[in-house]
Amino acid sequence: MSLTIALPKGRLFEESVELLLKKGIISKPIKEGRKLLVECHPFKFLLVKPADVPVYVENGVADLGIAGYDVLLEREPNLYTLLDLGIGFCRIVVAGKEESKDKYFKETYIKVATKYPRIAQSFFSKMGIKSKILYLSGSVELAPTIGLADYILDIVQTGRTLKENNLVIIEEVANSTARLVCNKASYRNKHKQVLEFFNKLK
Amino acid sequence: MPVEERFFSFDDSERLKQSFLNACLVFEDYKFLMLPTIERHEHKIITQHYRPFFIGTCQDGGFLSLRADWTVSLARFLSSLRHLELPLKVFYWGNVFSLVGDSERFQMGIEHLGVKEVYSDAEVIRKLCEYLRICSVIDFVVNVGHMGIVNRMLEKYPDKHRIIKAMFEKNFSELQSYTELTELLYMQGGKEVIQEFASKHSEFSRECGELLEISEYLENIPVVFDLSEIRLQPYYTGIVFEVFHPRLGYPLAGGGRYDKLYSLFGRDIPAVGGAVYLDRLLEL
Repeated sequence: MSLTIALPKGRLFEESVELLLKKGIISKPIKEGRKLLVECHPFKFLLVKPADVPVYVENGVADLGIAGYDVLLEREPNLYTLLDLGIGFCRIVVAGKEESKDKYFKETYIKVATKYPRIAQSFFSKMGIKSKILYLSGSVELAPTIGLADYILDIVQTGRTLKENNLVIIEEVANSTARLVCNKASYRNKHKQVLEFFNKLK
Repeated sequence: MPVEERFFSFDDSERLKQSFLNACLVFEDYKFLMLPTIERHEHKIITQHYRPFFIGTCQDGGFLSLRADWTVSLARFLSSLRHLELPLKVFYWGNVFSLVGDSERFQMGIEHLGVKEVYSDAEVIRKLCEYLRICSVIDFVVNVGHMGIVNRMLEKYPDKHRIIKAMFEKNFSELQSYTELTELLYMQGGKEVIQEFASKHSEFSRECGELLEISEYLENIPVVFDLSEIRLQPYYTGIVFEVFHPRLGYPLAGGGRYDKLYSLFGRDIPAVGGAVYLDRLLEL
C-alpha cells in the first residue's frame, strides 16, 4: 500500500518539497506545474490549494498532508495533527490603516475583511466585539484602502504586502507553521508506512 | 433547505430500515428500548465537547434539550426505575442531536449493564462487529485503548484540556516535552505493545491485564491497541474502542466502559456499551 500525500501549492510548496528532499523522503524535486498528480515512488503527491489540504486528508483520498496551522484553525478538520514541521512560518494578524489603530481598541462593532471567517469570528467574539465578517478569497489588503472594511485579518510573512498597501499590524492573533496531518483511518490501516514517513520527518 | 435539515433518499431510507431490522436479528436476546427525543437537560455531564440543543424550558424551571447521547439518557431512565433486574442487555436505534457538525445523527447501540468483568467489554465489541458484518461492512479495524491509563496519567497536569486536545489530535510536537505522553502515542500495535508497556509501568498492571484479557476474547477480530486512544465523552473509565474503515476518515462505531456514570444518578451499576454511527454507514 503506497501513501498518498496532499501538498499545498503556492507559498508553502517549495519549502515542503525542500523539506522532503532534505529528509530523504524523495530523491528528486517535484515541480509545481499543471500536473496535479505526481507519482514519486512509493508516494503519490496531490498538488492542491493550501486551504483544501484538510479536505483531501479528512476524507481519506490522501493519507497525509502538509497544511498550514492557519488553515487547520479555520477549517477545524477531523484528522490527526502529527507534527509541527517548523516551515512556512507566518503570523495571523489584524491589520488596518495607521490612523485606525487607536480607534480599533475602542470599537465594539467592527467590519473585517478576511479569508478566514471562522478565525475572525471566534477571535472577536472572545473579546466581546461584535464583528461583521466580509469573506474574500484574495487581495484582502485592498479592503481598508477602498473602504470595504476598516480592518483585515490575514496572514503576514514579511509584511511587505501590508506596507505597499499602507497598512500596519494592529494586533496579533496567532502564529502559524506547517503541520503534518494524517487521516484517522490511514493512521491505523497504513500505520507502518505512516510511522516510517513520520520518523523521517521528525 | 436549512443546513440543519437532512432528507434521506428512498435508497438511504431503505438502508436505515435494514439497519434496524438487522439490529433486531443480531440483538434478539437484548431488550429494545425507546426513549424520549425531548428530554430534561442533564447539567452534570457538561464538557467542552458536549453542546446541547436547547429547545425550551420545563414547567419546573429546568431546561429541555434534544437527546444528545443515548448512553446518558439510558442511565437517567434506568436509574429512575425502582426495580431493575441486572445484568441487563439493551439495544436502541434512533437519533441524537448536536450543535457541532451534523445536527441530527442516527445511531444503533447496545449497552451491557451490571457486569464489570472484561468478557462483557469483549462481548460488546464482538456483537457490534457481528452487526457491522451483517450490514455488509467487512473491512474494518477495531482500535482499543484504556481510559483508565490516560485519565490517571493526565490527572497531574494542570492544563488538562490542552493536553487532551493534543492527545486527541495525536500531536507529537505539542506533547514532545511530556515524555510519558509521547510514549503513549507510540504505544500502538498488537499484544506485544501492551506487554512492553506493562513491563515498564507496574502502576498500570490492572489496566494492561484487562487489555491482554480482551485480546484473548477477540481473537478472530482485527484489533489494534492504541494506548493514546481517547474518547471525548467524559464518562468513560475503562477499555474504549473505535472501529475504522479504510474508506472513511472517521470512526464507524465506538464505545467503552463507563462504571461511574450511574453514580451521578444515585445508582452503582458497572456498564459497557457502544454504538454504530449509521449516517457513516450510508457513506460507504
